[in-house]
Amino acid sequence: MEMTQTKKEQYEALLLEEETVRSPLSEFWRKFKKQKLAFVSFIIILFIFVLAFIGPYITPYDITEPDYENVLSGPSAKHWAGTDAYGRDIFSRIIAGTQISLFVGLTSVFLGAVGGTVLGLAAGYYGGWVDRIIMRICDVLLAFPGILLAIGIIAILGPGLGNVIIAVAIFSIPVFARIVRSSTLEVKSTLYVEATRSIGARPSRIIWKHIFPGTLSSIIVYFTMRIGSAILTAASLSFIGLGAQPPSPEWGAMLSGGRDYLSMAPHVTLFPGLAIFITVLVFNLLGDGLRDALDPKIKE
Amino acid sequence: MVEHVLEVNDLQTHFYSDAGVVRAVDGVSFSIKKGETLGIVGESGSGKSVTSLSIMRLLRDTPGKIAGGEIVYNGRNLVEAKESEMRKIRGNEIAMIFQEPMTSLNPVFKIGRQIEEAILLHTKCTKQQARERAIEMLTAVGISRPDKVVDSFPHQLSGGMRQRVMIAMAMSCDPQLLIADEPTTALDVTIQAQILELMKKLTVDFETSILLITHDLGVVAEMCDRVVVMYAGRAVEESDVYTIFENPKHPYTQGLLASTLTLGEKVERLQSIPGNVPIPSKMPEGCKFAPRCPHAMERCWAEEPTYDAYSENHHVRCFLYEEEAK
Repeated sequence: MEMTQTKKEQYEALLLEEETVRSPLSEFWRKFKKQKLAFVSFIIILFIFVLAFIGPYITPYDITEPDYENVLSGPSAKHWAGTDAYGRDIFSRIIAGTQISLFVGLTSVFLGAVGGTVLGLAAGYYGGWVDRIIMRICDVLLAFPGILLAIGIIAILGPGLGNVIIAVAIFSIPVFARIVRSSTLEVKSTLYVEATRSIGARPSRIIWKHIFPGTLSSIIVYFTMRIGSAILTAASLSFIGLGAQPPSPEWGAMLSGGRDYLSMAPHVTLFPGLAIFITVLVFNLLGDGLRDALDPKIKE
Repeated sequence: MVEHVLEVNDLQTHFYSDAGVVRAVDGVSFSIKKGETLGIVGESGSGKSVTSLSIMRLLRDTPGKIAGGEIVYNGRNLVEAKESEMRKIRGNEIAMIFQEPMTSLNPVFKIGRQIEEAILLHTKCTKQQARERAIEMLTAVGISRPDKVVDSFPHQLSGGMRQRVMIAMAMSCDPQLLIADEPTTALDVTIQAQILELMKKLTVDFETSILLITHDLGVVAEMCDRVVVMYAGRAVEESDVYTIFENPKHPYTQGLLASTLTLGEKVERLQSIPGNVPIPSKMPEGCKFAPRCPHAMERCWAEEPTYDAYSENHHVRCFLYEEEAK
């Protein structure tokens, strides 16, 4: 009798125990930490961000001052990544250039994502002619190869980093619009959206409070992956002289500057190239990891 | 004169597609009194759910349109109401609960927030007051530890619990009419009984009228005061629940009742109505039930019977009772 009483008490105590509730955010963090590669990429990206902020203040050498005694010298203890045709320290210039590439990548993709999300939500939710017009315009934009479209836009607006941002943003819009539209269609047909409508919520509320959060995970994943390609495009545009102009330490412009000495001094192009490569790679790896962590269908 | 909360007169809801017009609801009439529970019974595809969506005017995302008839709610014809007026009615005066409690709650928001949303949309109150009201409603629908459940996510609750939450949400603004579209179909039998019991109790406590859509005659017998039987988009019979069960007139209603089991009665084989509901593109010309009807006459294939009053509270759409109806 005594025994059953304690069992009963134990059970009642168990009922009273707090259940551990994981919010979607903590659930995401728990899954994300398990993605080793993405997690390392995330750390590297944090480091790149720090570099972008403090880079210009910590460069070992002045980034614009020529040093004609040390022209095109290879990597050494003094100049870790060697010097360029004007004798400027390449390592310092790469550090200082981080800011530019990151800023261009982030702003252009952000603008593209905002534009694309608004258009995608409208197309998906309202359907009909709104959908048809938006998606046809996107189809037209998508028919151009990205870089060609960017070159075209810059041809109209004129060269310069600001215009590179606009160009990259414009060709990011249709891709985001497509992704957001398809997830909008998916979320719109769920019963909980129908239920929200049945309690008398207005369309704007349904779109922003119920549909938008449902599309957010695909936006985040694509946003991250897109940063890499935006940095690459911006560098390419600078490489062909349409973006940042020398003596700016933009990575693409640096590649362009080292092009003539490729056989004589490969380090002039190698190191800025490596910087672009690593940055794009870590953003893509992070994007992959985010996708896996945000997708509830992928089992651990 | 009895006050009717809702009166539906000859409702026609049609779906327009490239293949042609589908008359999903084609001539449905009924009315609901205050505090009354009206059941709509019928097979899949008979137009029950479309009727409920028409009343809520939630057909917007479908190619469906109300093509005719009236939906009179407290003296106002909802068919002509503007979308902004409908938004004030939805959730506030006419609320709805759905068949699938597992998917009718947004998985990313806490329970409390979703109930509060309904309250904040229709009442002027602070977030704090809305939260208190949400907890109050959760208590009213029989959820234990409501102060914990408000902060739970939908995935932490069972189907029965979620349906209670949906009911709490629907009832939070004191609606006059609750439309329940197969509210217990997706639940276990034991939970079904609890949910029905809860809905019954709420109609008494809140004096809410219920429009209960179901294909389960057991649920009808348990819950409803009156019953409308639908077949192929039409109302074929309407009466109080006792008359329907004791003295069904329409051959379809008779068939439906014959195909249920009675406890303790020995049967060799369960009866069924031969055939299927006609597909919309191949509707018979006359009575829509003629192909499956044991009493079908030559006339039934040529013309459609009208929906006549057989007695004061008993309507039938069938030629067999034409004489008596007059």
